[in-house]
Amino acid sequence: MKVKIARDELLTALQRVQGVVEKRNTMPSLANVLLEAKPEGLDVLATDLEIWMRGLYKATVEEPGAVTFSARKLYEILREIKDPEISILVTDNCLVTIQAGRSQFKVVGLPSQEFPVVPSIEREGLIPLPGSGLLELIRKTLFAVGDNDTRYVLNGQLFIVSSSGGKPLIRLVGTDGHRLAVAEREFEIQGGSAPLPEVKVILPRKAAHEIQRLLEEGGDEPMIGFTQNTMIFRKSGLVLTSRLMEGTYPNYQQVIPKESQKKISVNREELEGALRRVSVLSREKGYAVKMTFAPDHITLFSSHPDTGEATEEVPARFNGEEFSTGFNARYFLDVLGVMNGENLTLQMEAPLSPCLLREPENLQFMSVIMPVKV
Amino acid sequence: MGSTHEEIKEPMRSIIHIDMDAFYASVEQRDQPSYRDKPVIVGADPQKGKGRGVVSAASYEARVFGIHSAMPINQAYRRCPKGVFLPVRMARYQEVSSRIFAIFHRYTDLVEPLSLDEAFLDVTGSLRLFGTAEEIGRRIEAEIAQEEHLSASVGVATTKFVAKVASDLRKPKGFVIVEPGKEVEFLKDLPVERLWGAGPKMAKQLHRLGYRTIGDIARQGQAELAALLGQSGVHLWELANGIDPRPVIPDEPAKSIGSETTFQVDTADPNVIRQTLLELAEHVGQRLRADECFAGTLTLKFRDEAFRTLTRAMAISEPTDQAPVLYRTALTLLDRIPFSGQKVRLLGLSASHLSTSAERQQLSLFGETPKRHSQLTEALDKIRTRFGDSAIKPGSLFTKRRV
Repeated sequence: MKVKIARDELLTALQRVQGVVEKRNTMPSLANVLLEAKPEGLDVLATDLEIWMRGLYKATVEEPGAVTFSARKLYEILREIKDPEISILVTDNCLVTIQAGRSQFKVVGLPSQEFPVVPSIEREGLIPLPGSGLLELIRKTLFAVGDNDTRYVLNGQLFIVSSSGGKPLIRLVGTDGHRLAVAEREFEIQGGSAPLPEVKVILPRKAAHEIQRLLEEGGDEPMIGFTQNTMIFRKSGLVLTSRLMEGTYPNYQQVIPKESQKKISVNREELEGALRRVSVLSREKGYAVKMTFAPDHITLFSSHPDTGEATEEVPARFNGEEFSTGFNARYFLDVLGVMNGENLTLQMEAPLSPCLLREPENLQFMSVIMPVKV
Repeated sequence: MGSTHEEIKEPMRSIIHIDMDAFYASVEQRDQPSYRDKPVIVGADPQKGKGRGVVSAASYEARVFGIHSAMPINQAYRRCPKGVFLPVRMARYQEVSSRIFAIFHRYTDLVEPLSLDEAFLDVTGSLRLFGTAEEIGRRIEAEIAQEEHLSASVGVATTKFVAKVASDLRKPKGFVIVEPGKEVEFLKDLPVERLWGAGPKMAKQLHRLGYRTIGDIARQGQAELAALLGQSGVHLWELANGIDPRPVIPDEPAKSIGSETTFQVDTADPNVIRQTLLELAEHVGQRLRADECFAGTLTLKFRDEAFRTLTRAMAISEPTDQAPVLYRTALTLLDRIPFSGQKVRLLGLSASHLSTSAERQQLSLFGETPKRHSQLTEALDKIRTRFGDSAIKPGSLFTKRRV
């Protein structure tokens, strides 16, 4: 195999797969990247056996072939190289020679057969999606998705496509059992008028995160499709395939409080700043902050037996009877961080009931946070 | 706080170190009169010399045969096949231990437990109430004997290190007082191995440098020892000269609660592995409940036949004290161990990030927070405390195997 490729082009490829390659070294080849030189360019592939990322990159292929070696090392080499073009030569014994200007690297690779086989996927039924819209939905819900949770399905993001209400709609849901985020958006189908499939699947956290990264790059609009147990995401020469998670997602709609009059309106930035300050003293205690809702303000209070206590009043409007409750301030800050509006409303019936957070300017997003017993 | 070069004189302290004599074995001998005056060995099942665990405690009658704790059980069996070999009844020892600690607390709040059967007491503030440190030590010793029919060894000194050395000097039923100012004199003829921080390796090095006794080190210049041994040299010199300012820190809450099992025969049988994890989960759960705390993290320890030890840990979303949750988490962790058919030698589970029920509790959206004490678990715990761990257990754990 012999290839000439622009350094920046290959660096982009390696940056994209860094998040996919397996960091825990269970199977050595999972820490590797597969390079396949084809007449149309250089295919770069990485997997952790859950997610597969493949991209075709512009390159001059002088001799087709394939090799697999450490994704981390290739990335580190590319970062140090300043020459605009590099050449990669692989000899029969899988010795990879990377030539860049006056520097030369020889890296021991493995034959491409050592790389896990890519599962074959049908390419039917891809739905074109508005990229920026999808990015916003992931950003608004991924923070609430469980991380390393014992309840397996909570480590995934619920992905719903539905057109039952007339216009096609995507809804994303994340929850770790303590808080919940739901974001949805209607969209226009560009081009074809094929009937939209009804989709309700659970996407692994890592896949959602990788999609988010690819969308943040901007560029072409993505397409997304689902088969029985995989999701396919395509965007400008890139294909991300992910296994879907099996299991029953909890009934999230049941835990969203019904609309009521017990609402507290507050300025988002003011609440955010106050929470940050007050929670400084309760970091070691799970960021516990006591909140008291009064007719014209919210009082935040935190204390720690070893460090001391902090309190702050934030102006607010509340047409109910004063009461106090407690929250993990981090859960609040996560939600406030993905909101865009100037104001938000909190709705809570009693000190131990769920708290619903919404923005009057954007009713397509909501979050629910459970309090802590104080 | 001026930058004076004068030594800041700490007020003199009175510290008592109390160490129960052959605790587990003594509890067994007390509970079962027919074991008295017999060599009692508490630990793993010796399986007629084929057992693979270790000795947890040996009575003084058993020590005559050269048996000591941490010795492989099969070796203990070879030395004394007629000995009384008993399983570890941890819940029982914990119960007795908590009563003994209650006696300590009659005299001071500054009680630092080192284990179930060993503690430091700082009685400096109690002298006016109860008399001299010696008198307090004598009273505690007598109360333990009277109320629990067990014996302890006591060391009284001005520092933790000297008190500990003192209690160990005339075991069993020892009572050694080191008068203030006599620390260096007391230590000088003891071998360097007695120093904290002088393990077998360090001891060897000290011997090579010509230091045999603690006195040899005390007489040496501090700077010289620092040059030879670095920071640990300074530390050893201080101890040898009776300098040990470490305070007695009362009752630090446990940082982790764990349990582990060495298999009698290395195994790759998934059923045996799962059963063992269930046993360990039951045991850890029971101890969490006894201490009234909840585990936020579970760690699985896995040692294979080649003695490679791997650990995997994960957060438990709802901190728990329930065995089924610990067991489910343990299975998830087991899946993460790169397992290619090699045999397992040892499995362990350890619960950490412990929180108490008194701390703030995060409520759950989906209402699956387990009930703190189901009546069943409570009943099981009572049975086990009274009749031992193996009195009642899940049906799947009833096999011929005994761990």
